[in-house]
Amino acid sequence: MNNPERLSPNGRRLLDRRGFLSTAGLSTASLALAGILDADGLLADEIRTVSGKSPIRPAIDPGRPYSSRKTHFEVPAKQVLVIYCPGAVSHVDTFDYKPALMKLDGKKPPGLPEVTFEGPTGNIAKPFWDFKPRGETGKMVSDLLPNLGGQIDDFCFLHAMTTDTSAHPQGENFINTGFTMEGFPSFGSWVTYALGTENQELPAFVAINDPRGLARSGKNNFGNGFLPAAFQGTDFSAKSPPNNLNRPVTLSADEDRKTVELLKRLNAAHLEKYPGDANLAGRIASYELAGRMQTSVPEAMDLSGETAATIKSYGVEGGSELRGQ
Amino acid sequence: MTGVFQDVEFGSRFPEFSSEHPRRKRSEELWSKISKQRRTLRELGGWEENWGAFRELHFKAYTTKAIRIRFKTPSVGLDELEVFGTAERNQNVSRASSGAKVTGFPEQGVDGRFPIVRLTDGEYGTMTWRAQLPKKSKERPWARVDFADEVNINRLRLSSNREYFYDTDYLTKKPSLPNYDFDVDVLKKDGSWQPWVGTWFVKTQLDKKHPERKAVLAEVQRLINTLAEEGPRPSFVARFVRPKPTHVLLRGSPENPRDEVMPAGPVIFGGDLKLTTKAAGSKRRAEFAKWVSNVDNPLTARVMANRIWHHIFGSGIVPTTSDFGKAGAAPTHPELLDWMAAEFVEPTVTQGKPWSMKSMIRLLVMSDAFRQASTPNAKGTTKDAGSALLWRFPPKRVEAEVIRDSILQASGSLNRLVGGRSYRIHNVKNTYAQWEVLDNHGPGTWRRMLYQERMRRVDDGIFTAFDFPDCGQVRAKRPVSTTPLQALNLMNGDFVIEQSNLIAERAKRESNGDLGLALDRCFEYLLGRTPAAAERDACLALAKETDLSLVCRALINSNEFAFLP
Repeated sequence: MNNPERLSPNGRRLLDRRGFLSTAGLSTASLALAGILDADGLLADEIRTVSGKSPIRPAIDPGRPYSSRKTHFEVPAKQVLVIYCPGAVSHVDTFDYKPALMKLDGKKPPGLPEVTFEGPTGNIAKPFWDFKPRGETGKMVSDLLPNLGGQIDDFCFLHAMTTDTSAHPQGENFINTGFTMEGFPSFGSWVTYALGTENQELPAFVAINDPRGLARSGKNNFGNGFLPAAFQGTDFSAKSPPNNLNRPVTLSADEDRKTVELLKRLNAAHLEKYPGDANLAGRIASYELAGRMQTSVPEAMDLSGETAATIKSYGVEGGSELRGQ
Repeated sequence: MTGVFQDVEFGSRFPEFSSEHPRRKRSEELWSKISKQRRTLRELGGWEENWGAFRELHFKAYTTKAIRIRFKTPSVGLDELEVFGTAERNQNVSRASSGAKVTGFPEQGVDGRFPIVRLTDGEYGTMTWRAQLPKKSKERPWARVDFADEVNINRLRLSSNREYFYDTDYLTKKPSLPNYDFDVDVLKKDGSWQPWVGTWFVKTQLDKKHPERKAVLAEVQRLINTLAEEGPRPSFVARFVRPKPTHVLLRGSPENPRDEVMPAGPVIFGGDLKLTTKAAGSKRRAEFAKWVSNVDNPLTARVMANRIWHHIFGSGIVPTTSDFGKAGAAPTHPELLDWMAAEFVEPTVTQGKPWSMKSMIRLLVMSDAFRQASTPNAKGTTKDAGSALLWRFPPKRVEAEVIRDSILQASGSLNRLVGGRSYRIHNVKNTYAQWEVLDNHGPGTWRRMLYQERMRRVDDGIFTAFDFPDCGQVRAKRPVSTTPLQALNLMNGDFVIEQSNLIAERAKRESNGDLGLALDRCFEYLLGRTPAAAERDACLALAKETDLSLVCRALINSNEFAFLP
């Protein structure tokens, strides 16, 4: 607190005398207003849900959108990792045992017309690998995946997912946001919106894309939809850190730092004209996070400190460009 | 509504330009030059022209009932053979539909799958006549066309997948016809074949006799290439087909067509167009357009007025600009929206023309609502913190294009060319390969970002992060996000660093080396104002210690530059 330079302009403003009084004053006024309206029965009823409970809405400070929030349930999980493989190996060749395919191998699919919207109907092909029951659960897994088959008791499967769309980008939207159209928040966006993050050095929600290119539906797969923009996924490639992470080679560290300091002063002066503006404060916060990422991202991406055993257990020792090394 | 657009199909075509369109004018200009050169060449015998996916062989006119083409190579692949009569311009006398018959060898093509009838079926594309004879074979492919009647001919055209470029001009593979060598015979009245012209002869022998031809041929080829670039070009604006009857599809399935329906707008909006399936496609679309733009149709004006409002104030009176239906949001001020819609169609206060977007924009930006200051006050903040009622103009971040264009404008390097070919930041790729961004900052890209060619899933490495939508899907409203990636791109991207240098150089140049004046200029270029005393001190200190370009870098990244107002 003795060094106001270490605070964001928004934070500094909350603490200076004028800012404190005005914010506190306004907050009290609005509390008072809510009290009066409630007493007069003028407040709208909370929207009721099927369960009869009110929806939980996280209180989010736009200046610090990633601050950690309480979980709604007791959960042991600390992180969530979604591995999404568009165009991956077929489910009927791996984990989804469909015995009818063996019976109908080489035959026309029953109940389908000769020619459909997408051209003549082809013959059914049985899986290219045989299936065997594995583990204690006896889950059927194909011979394509003998090693994963050995670990199968630790997996959880949901073989009930269907969609009405046959197009790739819309299908991607559907699995990652629940809607075939663009404009809806993705998994990670919802989680970050609800919970924030305990790590203030890295973006809360990171999308590590295939280095060969984004999936068909692009950023919508990790987009924020109608939620505030701060909750969209920050995309890295598995091969390289985000674009433009490092300062330009033509500038020295000192020159870079001084530009950042000047920028802070310019933005702080500008913000004085718009006290408490969430969009302006949010952009200032994004520059602060960007600055922290310049040191935290290389650290996070540096695997040289990992033991050989760790690297081997993750299977990234091969040096393939698709394995992230 | 499907019936209205039943004649429109996914694809490209040459747009129908009006006679005043610059591309059409340019094409007429070039064509008259080509015709002039052709007249010179005609005096000197035959010649060949390369039009990319097809070649044209011109020869001395001859009146005949049949023509025979003997290829000198064992392999040939062609989608169409056209022979032109002299009676009418571009009258293709070899087309099967004109009564001509094609025969030849090998009649059924490779593996019997590429029959010769495809040569004259009027269809371009991948359906070809393909011959592949053993190299050692003495036989060579040939094709013969018997015309419906005796006809005077002087030109033939061979093509290969001619419309490929309609889809893909960004691929390495351009449509082109291999350089086939062949001889042409014409059928004499006595039933014998007369050798008439050949590619080898016109390409090598004639030039020996008439060396002056070379320059003329080069000029013709140059004009042809210029025409392809500057004349009308095919665009992905759909192609027209003969309309089929339109059916209700049971449960949405194309495999279950039920009742036939007529071309019309939705009944709920009074969209009966009094048309039947006999109506031509163009008639259907014209009637539909009349219905959409009819002054009695309240929807069009209402939707458009709302969109204009959305673009000016950041949110529409109906916030869901593309959904006025049950799933959309209700208007916050329905009377205002209807007043604007009425004003748009029948101006009373603006004195503008009906349907003039410019008048509407002028009306809105001169309104009291738009001219409110953006600075907050306690009274306003208490009552309406989100400024939804526009008691002030809440600061909003400008779009990617505005940021990029403004930087170029500030450095004085913005190329203001209107129209023409887009600038391209990515490579020309193989089919199915991924695009790579090659140059997102060099002088070739210093045009308005409106002209940046956008490919699906290609991130330009700087401005895509500023919510530039992927162009593969419809987006009614652009989100406005704030992410650390934007900060990194705008702080460290090559584009910004280079432009910062250019802005600083320009400022120094325009202030005779006076650093204080140069600093003022930088503020004027980027923020449209001069610096306040405290800002000036801080900026001058950095400029003296390092360079003025670093001040420009900070200004480009400032909230004041990125936000409106």
